[in-house]
Amino acid sequence: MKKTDTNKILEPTVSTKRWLLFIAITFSIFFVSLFLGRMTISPETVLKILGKNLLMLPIEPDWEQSIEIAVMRIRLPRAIIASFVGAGLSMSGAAFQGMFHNPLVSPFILGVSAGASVGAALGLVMEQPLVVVQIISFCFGILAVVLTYFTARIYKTTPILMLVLAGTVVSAFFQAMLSLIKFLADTEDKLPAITFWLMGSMGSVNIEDLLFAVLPMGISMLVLFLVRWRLNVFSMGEQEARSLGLNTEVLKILIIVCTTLITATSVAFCGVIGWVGLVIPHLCRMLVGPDHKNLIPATFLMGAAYLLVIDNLCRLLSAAEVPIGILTAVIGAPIFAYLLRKTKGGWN
Amino acid sequence: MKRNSALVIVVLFLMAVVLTGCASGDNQATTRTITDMAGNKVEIPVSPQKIATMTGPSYEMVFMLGGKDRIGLVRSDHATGYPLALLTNPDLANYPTIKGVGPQTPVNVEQFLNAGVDLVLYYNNAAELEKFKMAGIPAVVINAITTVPATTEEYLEQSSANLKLLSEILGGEAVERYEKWHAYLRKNVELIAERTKDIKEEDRPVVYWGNTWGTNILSSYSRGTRNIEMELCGATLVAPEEGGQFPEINKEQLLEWDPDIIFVDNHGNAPELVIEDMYANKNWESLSAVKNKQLYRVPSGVFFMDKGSSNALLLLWLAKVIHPDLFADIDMIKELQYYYSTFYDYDLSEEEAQRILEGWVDEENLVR
Repeated sequence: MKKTDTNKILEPTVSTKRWLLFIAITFSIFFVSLFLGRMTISPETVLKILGKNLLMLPIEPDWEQSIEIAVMRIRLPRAIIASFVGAGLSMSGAAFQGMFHNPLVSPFILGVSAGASVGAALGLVMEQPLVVVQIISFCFGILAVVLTYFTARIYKTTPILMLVLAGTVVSAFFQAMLSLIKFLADTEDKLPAITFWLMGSMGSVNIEDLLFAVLPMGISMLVLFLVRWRLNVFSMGEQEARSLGLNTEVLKILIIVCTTLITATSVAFCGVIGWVGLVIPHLCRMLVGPDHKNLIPATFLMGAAYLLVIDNLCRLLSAAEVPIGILTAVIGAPIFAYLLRKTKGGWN
Repeated sequence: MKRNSALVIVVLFLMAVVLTGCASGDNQATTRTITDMAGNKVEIPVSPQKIATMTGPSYEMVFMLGGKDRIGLVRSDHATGYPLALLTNPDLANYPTIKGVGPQTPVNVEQFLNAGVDLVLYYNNAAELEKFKMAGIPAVVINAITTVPATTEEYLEQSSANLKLLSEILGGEAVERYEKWHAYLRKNVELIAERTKDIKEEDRPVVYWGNTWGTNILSSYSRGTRNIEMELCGATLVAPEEGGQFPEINKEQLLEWDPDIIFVDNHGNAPELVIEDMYANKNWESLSAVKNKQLYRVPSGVFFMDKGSSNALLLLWLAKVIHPDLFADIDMIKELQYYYSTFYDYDLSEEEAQRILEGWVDEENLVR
């Protein structure tokens, strides 16, 4: 038993059949999500609505307008954003864990979530419309990472340790700013708004703004996918890689830019969703091994599937929206603990 | 002297323990013991003269009970956020004010000591109440309703409990004013109940109450708070059961409920923006309330009309909005004018009454 497990982890390639299975799982969860919701809509009607709107089939509507709104304007954008955020955060987590050569690094290590939270809290306190809140939040997320990067930069390089420390410093600073804003905010109407926002929700994305969320995340994920081979160079240690003549700094900047775009967008649109970027990469390492060539696409698929499942629970459990940040942690932490036990902490 | 007062406290304490419920205030003493809305026994001055009105509508309630010359500290948003508060009581501009008070914010007790306050009307926040206790300022909890009223009688009792307590604290004229107000509330409740009692289930419009924080129609009240009022006014309330006092519902749930009427609360900060957005947003175009333009902002006068003493007026307004035909004889302008002259001693013009119905607040100054 033990033997086969080790073999599986060290397995260099993953069979095509396995990839097809992963893809099938993710897409069927996505598809099923469109049939679930607080409104009781028959599967047949959902299929007809999807056929009419997506495939332009000539179907005469025999359903009420509210049903079409629920499927096309609420469930579909929500499923899309949930899968992108899940995939994006998991890929960022895997990329950072590879780059930092540390399995406990989350995609928020460089301060992006703290920065984006401060931006969102500012927007909410100033009573700005949702779009403006999202833009301010995005900009602050980027700002935090830029601050981290330049704090860590010494002699044209950014040693990994410096990056982690600078990220901690910048995060701490922005966390304090967030506490200050929360302290000063009106406790009866603005504080609950900030609190809810920080706990995260997939529900606030309108179909009109969907492109602004999907585009930066999609492009960044594509870039990460294309450079996934190179992530393995960090596994030999940065100094060794440099001594072999590899320019790790350029790769590092590229990864930081991509993950920052993904995480800042996801925090700006959906709030801080923890644990996804930690649990999914580990789960995928168990499934496909530590080679980033396989790990990155696996985190993409599994991350999307995982967050879709969680978001479906958020929508279905009660009439009141359950903040997604709560469920990802409640479900993610035990899974993580189980994985830790099972692998005894050794990933490589 | 110190010894004596300590003795009085001990005696009072023993009385409270031994004769639970039977103990009444000692006329000779300078203090008396009352039970506040959270069930705490608090020793307060026999006749408090410098009251700090900190909870939501506490200024409005003390003012209505005739205690305008016994206020020692008001919240700055109460003093400047409601134009009618200043019109009905010009002295309000001269009261000492405090900024940044809320249910969860830590208080700076020195500000209260500095204002020479002899009684604080405060939230049910144990940590902060402890601070007042240490500073020797009696703090009374107002607005801490925890149970859901099941019958109209229970509702009447519960919705006037705050005012009843305040009238006992103020004493004298306040008690008469309270009785008069309570009779008015009872009259309204009975009038509405009489007219709506025979409305069948299918003729009761579905009502949703939203915007309890932020500019967000999806933030609502948990069912308990408004259920009986809606039943009384001949409607059916849709509200989430879980999620605390101010839960957020999901979009699809609102479509599923498909309310006929949506009340937009002032508790969120910009109800008119929420209404505008609802009418413009494609997500909501199928809602009956949006199609039939049945979105209503809760009116606002000396304070938001759904809070404090003016909740008695709100019931009439709600009933008329929900069943305009049944309450055609009710003229809200006249009713407001009657209420303002009877309970606030103020001659309200027709134009002012109209502005109340449109929600008359000074948003800049509503910030705590």
